[in-house]
Amino acid sequence: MNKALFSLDLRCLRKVIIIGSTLLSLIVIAVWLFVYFTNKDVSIDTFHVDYQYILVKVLSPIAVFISMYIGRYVYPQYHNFQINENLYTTNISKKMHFITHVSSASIAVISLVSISTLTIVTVSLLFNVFTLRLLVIQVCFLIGLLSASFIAQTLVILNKARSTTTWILAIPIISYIFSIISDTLKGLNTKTIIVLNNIFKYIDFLSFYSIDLEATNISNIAEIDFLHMTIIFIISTILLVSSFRKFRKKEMI
Amino acid sequence: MIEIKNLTKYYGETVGCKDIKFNVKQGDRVGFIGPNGSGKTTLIRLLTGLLVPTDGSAKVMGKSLSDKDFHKVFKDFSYLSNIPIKMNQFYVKNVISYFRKLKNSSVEYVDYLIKYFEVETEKKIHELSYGNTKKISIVVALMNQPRLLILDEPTSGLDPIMQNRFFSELKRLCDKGMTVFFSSHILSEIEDFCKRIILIREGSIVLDTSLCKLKQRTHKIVNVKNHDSIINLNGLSLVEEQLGKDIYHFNGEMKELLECFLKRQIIDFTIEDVSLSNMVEMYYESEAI
Repeated sequence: MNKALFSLDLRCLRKVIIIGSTLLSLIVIAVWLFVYFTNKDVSIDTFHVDYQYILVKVLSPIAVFISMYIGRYVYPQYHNFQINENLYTTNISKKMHFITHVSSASIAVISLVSISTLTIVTVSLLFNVFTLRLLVIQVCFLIGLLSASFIAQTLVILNKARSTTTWILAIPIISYIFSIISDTLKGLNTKTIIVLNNIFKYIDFLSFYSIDLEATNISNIAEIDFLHMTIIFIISTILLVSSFRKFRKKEMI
Repeated sequence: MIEIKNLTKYYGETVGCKDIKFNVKQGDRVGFIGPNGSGKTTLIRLLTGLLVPTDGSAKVMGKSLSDKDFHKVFKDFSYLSNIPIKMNQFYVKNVISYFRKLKNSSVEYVDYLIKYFEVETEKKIHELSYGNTKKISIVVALMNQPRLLILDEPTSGLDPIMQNRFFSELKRLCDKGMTVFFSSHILSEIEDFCKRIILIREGSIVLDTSLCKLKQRTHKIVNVKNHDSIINLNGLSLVEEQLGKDIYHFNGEMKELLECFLKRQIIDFTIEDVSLSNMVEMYYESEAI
């Protein structure tokens, strides 16, 4: 990894990290306060269920969008071609560029999740409802967002900038709209719905969180499909790593 | 320093440059000229590895464009783009500092360049004029004291004082052995600085010669003042009659011309080389010099 390039990347991403993490933290605080004031009996049992629900229904599209934006932005050649001409005429190999950009995007996503984790942990400690389950939810959240960032980086390498922007906007919106539709149509369970569900399960980077409000046991309401999460992460990592071949031969203008 | 063999670049069906062949030796100062859209920037971007050629090959400082370690040439090779650095949200000092680290350049030389070009380091880039952002690009391009420097319209936006300073610094680095490949539309600066001219038109090289040879091959402009009759001499042709002054083009032995003037007792005259600008203009008109 090239230190100077890494710090330049993070300097470019500073605004996104600050705005993104503030936005996510404010949403967490706002929604949590709303839940607390409308439902006074907050208990340790229900805390993680409530938080996971907020995460899936409110935070998910925003967080996925920010992560994909970070993944795209970290390749400054597509964002600002004037930087590109100067950056790619320095004594830094394409491999080093690739590793550094992947690392800086990952660090930016980690910072984003760390700050929102700090917020939710503080909130839970204030209400005396902290559980380790909360940290597990956050680690899975991080893995989902890293996958989103990897896919955005892959798209940047494979596509031109404009189509990448369309994708990073489209993916979170499509998956969010579909999650609403599939909730509404849950009872139907037709073949088409099942097939579409399976497709969108892999477009939505946080689809491994499942919420079943009809579950009889409270611990079954909010579940995490760890296998599904692992598959999403492995696939996005493989796609990103294999895009390096294209990146090495890619024109930088 | 640069070896190009049949380098070709197509953008879809459009020709960027076609079948380019030439070499540049160490210490050369090559002026690269051509009309807008002729393929100058395309060729430069191919040589810097920013674009990938459709066909042909090129070596820069011994490394082929297709080599995996081509980036290593940038230790001693710099490129000054025609578009200034536009990292608007950054302070100038930060931009220079990042590139100094990326290019592993000496702090002393960078500080010298900042003072020499009067770069305003405490401002953000978006607060600067076009000319001042161009100065940042110049500092970034020169900071590693390259052995090979490719310039794409380097002086556009610079005031005359800064242009002079820029050429003084280039000449100082050239004295140390730097090779310069210089693309510009300002032909007078190419004429002053370069020893060799490469002319590109519609993606192909149409002229590659030394400036000296080019001037020898072209006629001289002879201005004869206060002389009533038309002079008849082999190689001398009248092109314009002005009040008290006749303008001739002369293509022949200088000795014969001077002898002719001596015989006719013509003492008020000047002999000039055709300017590069006129030569290029003539080339476009007649397609041959």
